[in-house]
Amino acid sequence: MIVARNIKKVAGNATLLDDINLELRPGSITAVIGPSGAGKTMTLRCLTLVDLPTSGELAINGSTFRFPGDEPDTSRVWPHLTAVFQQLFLWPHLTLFENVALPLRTVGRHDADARARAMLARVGLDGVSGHYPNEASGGERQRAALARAIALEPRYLFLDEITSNLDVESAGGVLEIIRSLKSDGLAILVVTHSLHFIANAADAIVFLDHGRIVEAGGPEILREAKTPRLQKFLSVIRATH
Amino acid sequence: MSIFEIIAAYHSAFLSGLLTTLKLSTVIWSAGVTVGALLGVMAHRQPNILGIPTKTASFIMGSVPVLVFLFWLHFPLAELGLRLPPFWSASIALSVVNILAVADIVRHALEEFPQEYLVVARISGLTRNQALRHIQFPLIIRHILPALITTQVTMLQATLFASLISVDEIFRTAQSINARIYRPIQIYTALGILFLLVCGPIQGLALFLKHRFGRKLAELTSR
Repeated sequence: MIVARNIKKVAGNATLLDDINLELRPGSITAVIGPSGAGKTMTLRCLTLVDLPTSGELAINGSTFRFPGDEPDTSRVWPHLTAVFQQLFLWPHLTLFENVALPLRTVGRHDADARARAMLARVGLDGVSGHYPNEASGGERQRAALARAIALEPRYLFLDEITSNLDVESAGGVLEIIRSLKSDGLAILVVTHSLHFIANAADAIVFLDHGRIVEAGGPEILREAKTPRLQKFLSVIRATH
Repeated sequence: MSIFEIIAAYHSAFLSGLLTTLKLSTVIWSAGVTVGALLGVMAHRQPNILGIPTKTASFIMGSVPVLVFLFWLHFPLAELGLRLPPFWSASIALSVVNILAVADIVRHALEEFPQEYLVVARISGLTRNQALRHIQFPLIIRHILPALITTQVTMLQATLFASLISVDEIFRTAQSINARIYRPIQIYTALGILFLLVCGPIQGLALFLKHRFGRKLAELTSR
């Protein structure tokens, strides 16, 4: 389980996150939504320890880190906790297969190559596994990045706009994979703009604006938003999608 | 005498000059690539202690002609009583130029390297050393290789300046032959052909690598 308490992130004079409180439970999907610049990606970066919070407390799998002060030993956290970033950052000198196989090889998995092949097949990329990232489509790259992340069997998975470049069919396939990961017991946090994805997969929804949680709750808040800010955001999203 | 008759008649002189040019180039290349790469990495890691001095030296060296630097190093040292053989004066001067050029290439590549590739590597379970070995090092090498090779070709061409401090490299050899038979067009065309034979394949390799890796690393360089 991951518990974030009073997470704050300051950069220079700007407060990027303020008073973020979240719980990610095994076997659940939490969707983080909000307008551009709301702090969604920074929330993901702080919860994954890629960026350290300026203040607050973060408990990951029983280890509690307090900020400022603690310097987490990330080698004990990663890759049990892993992420797919919006820009994906597939390593451009490696094929899609090698992108998935390399982390498995470096952690000493004896079945690294077989597992990499299985993961690529699971996301529907077995036919293009020899392609380099620049030879793959946006959707193929997103699925390869997802395969790389799930290949190491993480317990916590953070996904930033994972379906943004996918067509409806591919997005449906990814949704199915994420659902099956949830039933495997993973705690998943998804940053997304897709109401379809949220309505069909999320157990909890967090709406951020200006670095603060404005509203949080179950999927019902999509129908019965309490705050005018979320109501307005949802109406804009519905009008444009 | 035709170009090829001149090459045939003076082939041993040309070969001897070419050998000196290649010896000089080997010293300049070895020093430049090893020390320059090391300096580039250190300048990136220690921006205040080494980065600023390296940038300043590169800026000055970029503004001062290589020939002036060569003369400035060779003649004042002789005035001070330190008489280095011309070959070594040229080696040191051109090595310094190459070291700073290579350090600049390496430092730039490290500064522009998207750290997120390493973040993803770490969050995917690679240790810091594994991330450097499997991700950063191969990407940086692919990124800098074409520029590095092109710079080495430029340095090989810069060895011609060594003739002006009496190093018996290929240009000085050509000048000596010309002084004897006065066939400047044929002799310097022959020199051009010899340089083309040496530099052409190296330039071709740089172009090949640029084409081969350039597309693959488009994502890297566009960040």
